[in-house]
Amino acid sequence: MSRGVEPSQQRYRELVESGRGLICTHDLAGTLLSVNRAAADRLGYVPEELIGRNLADLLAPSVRPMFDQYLDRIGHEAGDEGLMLVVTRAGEERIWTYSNVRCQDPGGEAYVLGHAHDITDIKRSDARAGEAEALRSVAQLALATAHEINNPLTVIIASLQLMTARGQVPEGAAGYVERAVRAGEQIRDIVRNMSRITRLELSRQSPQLPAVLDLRKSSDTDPRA
Amino acid sequence: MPDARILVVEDETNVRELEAEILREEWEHVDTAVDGTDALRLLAEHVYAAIVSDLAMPKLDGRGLYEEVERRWPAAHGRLVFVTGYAEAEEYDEFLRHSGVQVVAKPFTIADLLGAVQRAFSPA
Repeated sequence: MSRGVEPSQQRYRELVESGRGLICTHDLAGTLLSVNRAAADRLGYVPEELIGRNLADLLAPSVRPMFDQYLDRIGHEAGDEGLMLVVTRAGEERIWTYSNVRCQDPGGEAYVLGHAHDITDIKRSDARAGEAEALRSVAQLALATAHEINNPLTVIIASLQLMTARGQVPEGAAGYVERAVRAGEQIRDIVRNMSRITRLELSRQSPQLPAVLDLRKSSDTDPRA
Repeated sequence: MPDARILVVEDETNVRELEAEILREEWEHVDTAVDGTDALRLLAEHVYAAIVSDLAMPKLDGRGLYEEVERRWPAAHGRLVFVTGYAEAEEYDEFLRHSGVQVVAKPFTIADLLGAVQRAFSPA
């Protein structure tokens, strides 16, 4: 306990210093006046390295232009809350949700007490769940499409083969029939590969489709593989 | 077995008629049913040497037909052949693996269909 500090004040300081919430104070220009250990740790610094720096320096470049609007709001309103995109010392972007209030000690300058939570992992998890759901929808559509294509394709290929087997193909048309059967078989292979790729992706529970899906490159045409 | 009776179960008219026509090249008696329920009606009237059925159908699908055949005519179970455009579908994957029923994937060739029916006459 510091000399001359009341026990209740010491407990309050420990709450801020040892708590896992991300807490700081800054002046109305954004200059950091204090930062608790949890917030500094999360950013990859020690608190002393951050004090005196402007909060804007810790924001991702993409959101930095919005910082003046935040300062304007917090300068005129009692508080402000929302999301901020910060950059750690290692260069990783993290999403924090903040709820800041403007304070003023008697006879002192106004300042802002900031309280934030790192929600990056939750946001990423939500995004992965959303992407997995989208992938599942695509896969279901692909399988339903495969079924709808396979029925008429069955009629085309097997009818042409039946005509050939019965000797019903007019003289001179055999080449056309053969080409039509080959084209039908190409469509069959594309549809099978499409179905197989979507199933493979689903089984991996991959959040993203491969960048390139070249459906014609698989040489394996066994439908039960 | 040219006098063997064969049942084709398929809800798509064009596919059903084509399958029947191909099979009639080899066998004289080929009946058709538009879904599993229709097939059960015919199965109660005739003994079939092979039952060629689609998987995804309204009313009673191929899986339901398989279960009913297994329950009511256990000896006919090995004579089933599924012809399906859903050979890649996850929802039928486990069923097809466990049932051991022959699968002909759409689009099939004439040889695929005739070969599967021949094998259904003498299941392993």
